[in-house]
Amino acid sequence: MRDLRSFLAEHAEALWELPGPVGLRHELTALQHALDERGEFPILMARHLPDLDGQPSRVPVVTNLTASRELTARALGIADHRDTARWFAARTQSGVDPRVVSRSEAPVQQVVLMGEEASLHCLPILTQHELEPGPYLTAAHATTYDPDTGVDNTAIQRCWVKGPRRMTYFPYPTTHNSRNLRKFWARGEPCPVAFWIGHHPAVLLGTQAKLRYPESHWRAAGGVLGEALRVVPSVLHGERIMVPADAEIVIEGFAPPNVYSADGPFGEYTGYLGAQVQAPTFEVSCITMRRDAIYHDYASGLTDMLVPDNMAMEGKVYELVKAVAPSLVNVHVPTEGRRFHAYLQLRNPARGEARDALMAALAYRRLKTVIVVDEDVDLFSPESMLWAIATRVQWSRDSIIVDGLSGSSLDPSLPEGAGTASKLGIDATLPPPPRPGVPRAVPPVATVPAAARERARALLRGAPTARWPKS
Amino acid sequence: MNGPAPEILRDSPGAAWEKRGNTLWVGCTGADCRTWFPVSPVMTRSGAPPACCPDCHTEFKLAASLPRQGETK
Repeated sequence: MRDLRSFLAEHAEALWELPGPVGLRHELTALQHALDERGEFPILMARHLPDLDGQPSRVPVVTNLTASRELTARALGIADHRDTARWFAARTQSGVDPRVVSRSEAPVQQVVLMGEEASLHCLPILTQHELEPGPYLTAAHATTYDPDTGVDNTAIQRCWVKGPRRMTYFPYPTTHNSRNLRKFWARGEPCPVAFWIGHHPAVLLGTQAKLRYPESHWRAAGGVLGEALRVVPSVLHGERIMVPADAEIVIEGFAPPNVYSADGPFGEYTGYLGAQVQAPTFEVSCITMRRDAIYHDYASGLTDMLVPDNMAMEGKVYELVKAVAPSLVNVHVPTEGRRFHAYLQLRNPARGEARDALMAALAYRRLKTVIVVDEDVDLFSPESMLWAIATRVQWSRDSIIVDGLSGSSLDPSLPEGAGTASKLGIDATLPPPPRPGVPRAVPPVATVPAAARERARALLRGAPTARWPKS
Repeated sequence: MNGPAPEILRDSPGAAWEKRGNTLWVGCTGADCRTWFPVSPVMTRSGAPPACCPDCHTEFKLAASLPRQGETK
């Protein structure tokens, strides 16, 4: 059985327990900005924080849990993070069915707070960025269900805590949770929701798998976890909404029909503040948690959140593109492109296949720029990607711009009133040889022999590299 | 904010807002606050909840309708 604490114990070398108290407003997030700028990605644990009433909280905060791509990949059991796309696609497709356990076997229900006791103010909830209106749950996984079929759905969705038992809940209108909510509201009923917080990164990523509607995420999470996810009936909603038994905290309640309130501005994955919107209101009826619960926070717009989300995207893009371009061998969704860029790697593509791959990937709503390269280009090296673009692309021949595709409304470059996005595909592959066994119609890449490279590495091993300029 | 003068809606009830590209900016109506923050066009629709200043939490309704592109009222 794996959970948040088993992950922390396995990777204690990457955990930095902060030596003193730190402020809930901006300070912990500022530390994550500083770490991102330095290219360093420890897991952060902060204890002795105040709760939202200003009283000492017994609950510590863990954040930056998934800021390291290498560590997150290892947590999933992927030896080399560059293999994520194929691995994630295979694991979420194969899946492992969840296992239902009793309440006595569920650590997340060790403490049950009902009524007035179920106060969000007991938690050390952060306000991350300037101009955000208050504390936000950023790692709350909202589980709802489709009232027509009973099939559940889970997604990370932010919540602005507006009072001890009241918060906003913002499922983006195109999401499956939003669809479930609207179905309940169309019947004049409040939508039942359970938000669960804190689990092993494999479960966090598994529940971000992009699935059909309606389709439960528990099976995909089990596939990524490599074992059945233990789930337990929620206290309030019973078997209609299961929650992970080994989570840290669960918040249960209802979103009453057609009750909206202002939500945001909020720091988004784009690195900009998203505008204030209207969001459903959520009323808390019950909070359950472990006796020694840990509160998990995702730093929105920083690597902490981009890394896991982009890794899950790589699996989905791999599935989409592989269906039309069998020569696809790898996908990278780089954090420097937020969620807007994807790099595809093909092995000896057939004529037209590079463009097929581009078109398939561009159809994915989040993506805005897709670049396809050959196998000799390192998808995970910005230098290598820019080299391929610089030397293998003639823009009029190798670029395609498609207007009118679905895109992210959070893209600040969208023109006024735009309901769709303009997208770019770049074919940076080399043309194939005119016939088998003949060199391609481009000069060979300048290289040195393998033996000379090995000798250079041996020389460098004894060199005083720490003193040398790094840029 | 830089650039040309904003389009300003002043003839419908509710707080005025300024449009810059795809973003609507509104200034808090609370006394001594005047914090500017971005709002979604959905907040100008009838039936939308009041906007809420992220700084002082004053709530106020926004002017109801969007001007057409290029129109200045």
